[in-house]
Amino acid sequence: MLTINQLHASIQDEKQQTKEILRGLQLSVNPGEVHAIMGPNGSGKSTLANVLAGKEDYHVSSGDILLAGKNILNLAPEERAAEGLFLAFQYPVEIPGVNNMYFLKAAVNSLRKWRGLPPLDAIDFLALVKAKMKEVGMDEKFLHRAVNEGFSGGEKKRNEILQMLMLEPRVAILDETDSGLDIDALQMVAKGVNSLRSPERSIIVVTHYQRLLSYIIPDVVHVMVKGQIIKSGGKELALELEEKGYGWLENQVIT
Amino acid sequence: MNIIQENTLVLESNQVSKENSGLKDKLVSKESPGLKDKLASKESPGLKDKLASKENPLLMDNSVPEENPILKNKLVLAEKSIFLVFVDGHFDMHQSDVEQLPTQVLFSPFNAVVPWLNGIFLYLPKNCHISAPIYLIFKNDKDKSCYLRNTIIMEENSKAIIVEEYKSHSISSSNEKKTNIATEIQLEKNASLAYYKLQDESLTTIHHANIVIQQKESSTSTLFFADCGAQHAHVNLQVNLDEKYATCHLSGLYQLNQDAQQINNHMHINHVAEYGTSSMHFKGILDNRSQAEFIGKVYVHPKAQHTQAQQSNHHLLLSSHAEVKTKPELEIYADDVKCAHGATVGQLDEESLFYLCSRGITKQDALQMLIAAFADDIMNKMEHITIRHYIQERMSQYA
Repeated sequence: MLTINQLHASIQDEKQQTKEILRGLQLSVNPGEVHAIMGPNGSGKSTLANVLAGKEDYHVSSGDILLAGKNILNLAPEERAAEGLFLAFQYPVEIPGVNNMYFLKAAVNSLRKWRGLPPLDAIDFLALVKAKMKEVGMDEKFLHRAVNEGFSGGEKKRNEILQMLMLEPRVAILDETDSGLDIDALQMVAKGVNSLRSPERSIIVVTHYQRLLSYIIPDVVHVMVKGQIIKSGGKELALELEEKGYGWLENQVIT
Repeated sequence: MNIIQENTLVLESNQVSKENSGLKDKLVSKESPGLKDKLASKESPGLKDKLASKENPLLMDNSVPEENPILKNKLVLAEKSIFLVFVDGHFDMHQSDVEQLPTQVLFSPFNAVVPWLNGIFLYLPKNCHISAPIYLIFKNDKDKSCYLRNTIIMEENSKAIIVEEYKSHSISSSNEKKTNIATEIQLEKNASLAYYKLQDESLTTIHHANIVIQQKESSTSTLFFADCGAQHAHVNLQVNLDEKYATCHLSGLYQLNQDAQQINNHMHINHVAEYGTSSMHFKGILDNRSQAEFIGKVYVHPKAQHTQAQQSNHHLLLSSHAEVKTKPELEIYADDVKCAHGATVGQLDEESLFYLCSRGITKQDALQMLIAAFADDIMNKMEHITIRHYIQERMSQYA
């Protein structure tokens, strides 16, 4: 479903110096699989998530990103979303003045338009969004507030999962969705993600901790250090990392 | 009424106006306590008789006592709009709904009295409530300048909603024309006015508006200025809160998107008496090489203790060539007041734009959403929802 080949990406820092963050990253996720990407701070996990979603701040110098065989590297963020890519942000931005329901409806209908489907009318949309909100344990009052404005950390993450459930992506990337969540919210997020698991969908979970992975059982666990995947394994790898830390792996980086 | 009758009427009233050469000055004088009396008095029998007949809605009979409860109920109209239309400065009877105005209201286009003067005179007597918004529509589709004088006098406990709209088309793209307006508004004790001004003039128009509002004790004005047209617009507003407990809520939005398009807002609120409240909140959205200047001044006189005044002016620049000069000012000579002010100039938030796009919303739509979001809180200051939607829709053509 998603194949990343020899991806090199860099960012310009404050001193206008180019800093390479992804250094020949290689990753392949099959349909129906859940992959976890773990790694120490600064290893490039969030960069990878943002590069996949098409954030302009990053410069991709070489490599390919194939979504269901199609190279999406030259596509704008909205076109990537139309191809079925979804990123649940680590720090969802607050957008005062944009009503959450209006935003969700615009997103759903925009994607339907890309796919040649008629837009959902107000009644169908409301029925759908109410059902999905129940799934993620969100109060309906959040529909009438501005996007993420004044939401607590947990409410923001639930709102991300709500968007994911509404947009039904082919490839979902969750960037540290578990950070800052209490146990209840964590379970709710995991429930939402698990409900999306299906043979035609791929999910990538970026996390620091093994905790989330006891609720979302991954098929493959990758360890990312200094912009590369240096080790991949089954779900037991996450437990091993929890026990030993990352230190024992870091000297394996190919420079 | 057919056209011939209307012409006759104007001629007649011209004659009357000679007899009452001081009428105009009396109408717009600061105090105007005896205005009603003067209009209805024996000094001007010709004017009253000629204009106040039932067939002539220009100037309505005002002699029925206001205490009459049946009449009072009649004054409260259903939620319907009253349109008064002026074409090239001249009042157009056929496009207007004069018959919808309550009979107690005095209404006269100035050119019915003074032929060279265009604009409107509107007088609400004591306790007169008009719930239907009165739309004063000024259309100018010729390449000719237009000079207008508007006077609105609201007596004690009266209440009205007035929308002033300026709309022009241009035949030639090189001929510059002017719209020059002097507006005086007088609010007596407890009077309440919601006033909206929508300026949507052609790009060859220079729009210049001078507005003075005098407010008596416990009167309230809620003012909204929406500007999206004209080559150059200049608005001078002065609000005098002359007596205690007077309130003025002033806000506005200007949206420019043409090179060399310019707007100057010079807003001045004078707190003369105690316990006055005022707010002044403006936002501007500028694209291409457009320019905006905002000078907002709140002046608190030494006697105006317990004044509360708020002021803000925020801008969204959509182009690196757009230019803003903003100067919110507080000048305070009383020592027991609560005042605040602030101004910002910023750009669209890239993070928000990326967020919206990452959900499949096209960049164009996302931009529109964020621009609308910026204007949202100011738009919501328009309390009348129908008018808000009307103005929002008009402004969205330029977004």
